[in-house]
Amino acid sequence: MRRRLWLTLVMGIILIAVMVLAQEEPIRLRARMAIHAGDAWELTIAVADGEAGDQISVALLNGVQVLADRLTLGSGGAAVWRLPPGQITQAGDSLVIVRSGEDEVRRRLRVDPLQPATVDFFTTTNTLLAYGQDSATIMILPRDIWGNAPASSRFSLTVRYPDGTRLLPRFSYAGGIGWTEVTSQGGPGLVRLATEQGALSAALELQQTPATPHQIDLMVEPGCVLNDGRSVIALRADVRDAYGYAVADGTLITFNWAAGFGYGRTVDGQAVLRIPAPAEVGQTLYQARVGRVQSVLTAVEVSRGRCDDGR
Amino acid sequence: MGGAMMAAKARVKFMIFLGALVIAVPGVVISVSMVAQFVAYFQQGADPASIFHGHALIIPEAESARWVGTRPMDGTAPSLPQQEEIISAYWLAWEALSRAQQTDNLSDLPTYWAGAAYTQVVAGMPAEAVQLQSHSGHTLHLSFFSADGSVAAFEDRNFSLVMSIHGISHSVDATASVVMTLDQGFWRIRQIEVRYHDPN
Repeated sequence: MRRRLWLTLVMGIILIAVMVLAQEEPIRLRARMAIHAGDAWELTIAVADGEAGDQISVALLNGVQVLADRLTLGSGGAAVWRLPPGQITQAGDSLVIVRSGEDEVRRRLRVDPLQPATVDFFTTTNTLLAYGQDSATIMILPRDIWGNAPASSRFSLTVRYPDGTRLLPRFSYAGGIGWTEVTSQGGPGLVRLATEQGALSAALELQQTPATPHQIDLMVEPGCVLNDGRSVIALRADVRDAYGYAVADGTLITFNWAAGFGYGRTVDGQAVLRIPAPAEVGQTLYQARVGRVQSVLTAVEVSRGRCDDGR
Repeated sequence: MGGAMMAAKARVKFMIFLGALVIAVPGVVISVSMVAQFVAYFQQGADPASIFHGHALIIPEAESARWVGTRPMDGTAPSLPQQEEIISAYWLAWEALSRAQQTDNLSDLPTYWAGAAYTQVVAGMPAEAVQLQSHSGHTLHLSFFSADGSVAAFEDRNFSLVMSIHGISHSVDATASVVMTLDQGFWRIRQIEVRYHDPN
């Protein structure tokens, strides 16, 4: 008796399960649910209680664009929504929404990006201080022909320093942007950077600059002049940073002497100022200065008769 | 009799005067106010946002958009003013998209969208039968901020959109990976990937 009761109960449960499963969904969709950006796509819709001529609303939320249409059901309550190539272009998880009367069904459509077709290769700075004292952030923004960022990056980075050293740092990559820090190395000069993935490549250059002036050597040429009122002297300042490299071109140097002052800008570490020789016979002292750094006093001899070099 | 007539005549004149006064005073006030507005209009400088096609700094309400994580994986963290500038521009970018869908006027989009993202957002226009009615719940998690403060990458998790499609409102949730860059003083969305949440 108890066994029969259990059997009836199990049969009842099975019957209910079959009935629930057999109950037809109001809207059924059939389509590829993973495509690549730009692919054509076809969605077959079957509305359980739909009749030929009924209208349904279909929409695809694809990135920041929404493709929407109204379809008319054919015989058997079915309709096909065809989207030609080049319409579903935005990568990510798109959302299909189909509505028929009060019934609505939603499905996710995975849209994968294509291989990167372009890459923006850029940096936070074009110059950085040499000798390992500075660093720059190097960034990439790769994207496919539709502007989609790849899910992951395989872009390599090659850094060639002025001293010939070559480094291969790796990009961190998240949310469509890749980045890495590049620290200066060696003396002043060009740092060449190249990024590459397959046939796609990009390059940029950074300028490693010398440090601030540390040492000024002043020369006065010639060292002796006649007080003939026609002689010209050249004040030549050789300006180096703490590592012995010429300071950046264009560094402004101030030349001082008892009767005045003048300016010169460095080219390859040297600043030159040509001025008329002093008229007074005897020694005149000159000094070159940039910021707090100054040269030792350097003298020019003004002679009434002749200089030791035979003039 | 004559005196009474004179008094009545004077009273009528006074009533006419009072009536004219009642009409004249507001008229004079309105005229002066309009002249003042006219003068003030020519004394004001142009709105910088209008002439440079830039945007104002509008900080959205916390329930509309807020920063949840501002410490990037590596790199520097943006200052509070920088966070405000970014979230303001991001919020306004969605507003511009909504406005463009409602009016079919795309002239505001380049103010907030640039590069590939601009191309993508324009690709969906004109959005016939589609309108972004509201967007809210943007929670921004920073993943990268460049040292020079000109590039920001973040994830906007679980924000909500309400869209009208063929006149019926649909509420959807999504997450977006966003790269914004500071172009000519304004933050713009340069890259975006939206992932709508699976309803099942």
